[in-house]
Amino acid sequence: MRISTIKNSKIQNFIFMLFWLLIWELAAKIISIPVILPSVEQTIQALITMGKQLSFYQNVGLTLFRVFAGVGLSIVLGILLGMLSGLYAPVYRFLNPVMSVIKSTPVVSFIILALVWMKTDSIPIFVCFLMCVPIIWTNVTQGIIDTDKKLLQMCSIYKVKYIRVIKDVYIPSVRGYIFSSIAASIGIGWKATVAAEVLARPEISMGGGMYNAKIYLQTENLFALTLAVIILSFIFEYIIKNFLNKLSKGRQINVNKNK
Amino acid sequence: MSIKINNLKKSFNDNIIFNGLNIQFNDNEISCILGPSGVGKTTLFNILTKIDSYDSGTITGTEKKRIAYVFQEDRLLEWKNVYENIAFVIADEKDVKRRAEEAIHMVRLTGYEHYYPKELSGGMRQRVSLARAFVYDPHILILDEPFKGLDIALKEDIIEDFTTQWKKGKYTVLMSTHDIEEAIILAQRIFILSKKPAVLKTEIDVSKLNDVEIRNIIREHLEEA
Repeated sequence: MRISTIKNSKIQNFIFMLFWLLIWELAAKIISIPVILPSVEQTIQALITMGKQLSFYQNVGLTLFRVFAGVGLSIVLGILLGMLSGLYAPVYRFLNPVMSVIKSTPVVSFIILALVWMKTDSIPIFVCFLMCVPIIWTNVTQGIIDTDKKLLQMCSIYKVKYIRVIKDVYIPSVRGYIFSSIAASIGIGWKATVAAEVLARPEISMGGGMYNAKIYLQTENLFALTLAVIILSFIFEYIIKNFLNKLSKGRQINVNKNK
Repeated sequence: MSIKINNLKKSFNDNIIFNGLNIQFNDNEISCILGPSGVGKTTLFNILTKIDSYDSGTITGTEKKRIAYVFQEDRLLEWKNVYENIAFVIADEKDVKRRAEEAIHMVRLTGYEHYYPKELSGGMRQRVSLARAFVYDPHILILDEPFKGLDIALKEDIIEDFTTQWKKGKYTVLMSTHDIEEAIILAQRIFILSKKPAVLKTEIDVSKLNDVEIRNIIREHLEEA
């Protein structure tokens, strides 16, 4: 019953996707001006053409690197600051206004500011970091606050060293929060990085390619690059989510192995 | 130095738990506290272990002492196995392996060292919590209804081992229970608390009376309470 439901939902997903592609194709046919709306075929054709050029892979590689660097930095700092904020209320009060402002500021404001402040190559990393760090910080802080007080009381009675309490009580309690915040920040990291690349235009970047496509009215290239970003973001997210799932399942397997 | 509680006052908002409680627990004795549910036994233990604060009064005899506490709930780390949960409280001390294994043996959990709490029954989990307290080598051991949920045969075995181990090292034990028989078997002194705000109703020196007399005194006072 369940298997057939999953199968049905997959078939449905596929049919609905085909339906939207058909709508796109129809709209392109009706408009019939590729500069305004290229067809599905033209977009895929443009993507294939790009795929034959080395520069495309250089652009993809560097954009990927920027996403990794931005998300990676925000993971490291988000976890560190989140733990400190969860453990020490003054640190939370100190950081909360900054994080709240970052969360509600439009990404484009940061990009424009960064254009004034720093070199074009580092802007996308900086912007990606700024967009992701509050997500991870908020989750980790919450995880620390939600740690079972009764376990902490037990540790305090048995005079367990603080470093051990962090390692053996806080970190395992917060692990789930870290994983879900990483998964949530990947998509946002991609969008922020590419947006920053479009405006900052580092020499080698997918966003720079998009900007050029716009300038030269190569809308099919813009669509093809967008499609590439979407596909890469999906793959990236899929790999990370699987990795995180394996990490938590691995612990489960160890549990059974040790029996 | 015995544990002396003088004129202890404690309330949670309008709920007055103690309004001048005086009680003294002798060193190296097993003291058992009996009293109706909600009389404040757990609050008293929480105050002694500094989990809860108190409004006024003095407590002496707990300073710089190693205190182990077996809570009503087991409070185990779900991500650590039986051995790791027990070794956790002495991880920075000497002889961890031997001591942990001894404690595991005492609560009859040998062979379950690598099991995780979620794989254990409620009674087994409580035994891990007991072993964690025993391994700590405490000066004061606080047991809040420690044998609740254990079947009779197992309870008798653990009590026997516990008494043997206690006789070897002799430390102060404070225990709360609802079970009169448990109190008579284990305790040198039984304290009966009456209900709200709690006061010490009577104190029984178990060595000076026979079992029948003790049972009668306890029943009489518990009924009044």
